[in-house]
Amino acid sequence: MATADVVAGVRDTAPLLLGIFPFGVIAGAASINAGISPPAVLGLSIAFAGAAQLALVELLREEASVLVMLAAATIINARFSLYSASIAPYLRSGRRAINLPVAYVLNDHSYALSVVKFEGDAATDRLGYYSGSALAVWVTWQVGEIVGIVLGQRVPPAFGLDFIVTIVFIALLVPTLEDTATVAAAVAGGGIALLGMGLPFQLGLLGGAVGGILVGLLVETGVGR
Amino acid sequence: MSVSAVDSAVLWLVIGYIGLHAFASRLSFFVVLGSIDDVPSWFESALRFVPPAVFAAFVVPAVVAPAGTVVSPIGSPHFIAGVVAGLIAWRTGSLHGTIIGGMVVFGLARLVVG
Repeated sequence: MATADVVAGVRDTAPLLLGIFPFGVIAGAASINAGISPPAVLGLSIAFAGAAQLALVELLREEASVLVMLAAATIINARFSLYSASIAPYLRSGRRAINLPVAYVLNDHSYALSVVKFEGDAATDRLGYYSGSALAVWVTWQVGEIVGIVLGQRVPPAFGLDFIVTIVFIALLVPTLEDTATVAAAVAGGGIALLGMGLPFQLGLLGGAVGGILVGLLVETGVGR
Repeated sequence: MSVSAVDSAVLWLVIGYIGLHAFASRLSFFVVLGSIDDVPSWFESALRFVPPAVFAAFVVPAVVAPAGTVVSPIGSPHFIAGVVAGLIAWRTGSLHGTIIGGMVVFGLARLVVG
C-alpha cells in the first residue's frame, strides 16, 4: 500500500473522528446503563454497528421481543450491503484473506469519503486510502466504546443516560429530512410507532419503521410522476 | 432498568446475529463480484427511507409519551428537550451541539418540573 495514500485517508477522516468518538462513548455507556454486561457491550462494539447497537439498547429498555430486535438490526444494517455493492468493485481482491478485514471495517464515514475520492481519481492507491480511513474510524469507535463502558458503570441511572440515546437519534434524524418523501417517511414512522405503543413486544416500533419506509417509497413514486 | 425480559444467553445470540449480519452485508459484494448495478432499484430507494422512518419511530414515542402514555407537552422534560434538540439539529446541523444542548435542557427541565 502507498503510505502517502494511507495517511491521506487518515487525514481526511480526522475531522469526523471528533463526532465518532463521543458517539462511541454514548453507545458504550448507554449499553451499560441498559443492563448489558461489559463483555457483551464489547461484543457489540466489535460487531461495529453503532446505530443498531443504540436501537438494541432502546428495545431492551422497552422489553421488546427478540424478534423485533433482530428485525430492527436487519433493517438498520441493510445499508452495508449497498455500500458493499458500491465500493467492492474498487477494493475487492482475489485473495479472501484481504477481503475479509477490508469488508469488516466498512462504515458510513469511510464509505462516503472513499467513493467521492475514487470517482475520477485513478492515481490514488484506493485500498490504502480506504484502509487508512476505515481503520481510523474503527480504532476511534472501539476506544470510544471502552471509555463508555468504564464511564457507564460510574454514572448513576438517574443521570438521564437513557434519554441521551433519544437525543442522538434526533441528531441523526433531522439531517435525513431532505425532501417531501423523507419527511413523509418520518411522519408515518413516528405516527405509526406512537399509535402502536400499546401493542405487545414493541411491534409498534417495527410497524413504524416498515410503514415509514413504505410511505416514503409511495410518496416518492407519486411525486416523481 | 434491567434486561429482565431477555436473559444473557439470548442477548449474546442477538449480539452474535447483529455482528454476523452486519459482516455478511459488508462482505456480500466482495464475494458475489457484482456492482451497484446489480442492486434492485427498489432496494436502493427503500434504503433512503430507513433513517427517517426508523429514527422517527424511536424518537416520537420517547419524546411524546416517555412513560408509555402521551403526556402534556408543557411541563414534560422529554418533550421540551426533544423539541429543543430538534431545533438545534435543524438550525446548526451540529451533532455535539444537539447532544449537549438537548441534555442540558433535559436536566434543567427536570430540575424545574421536578
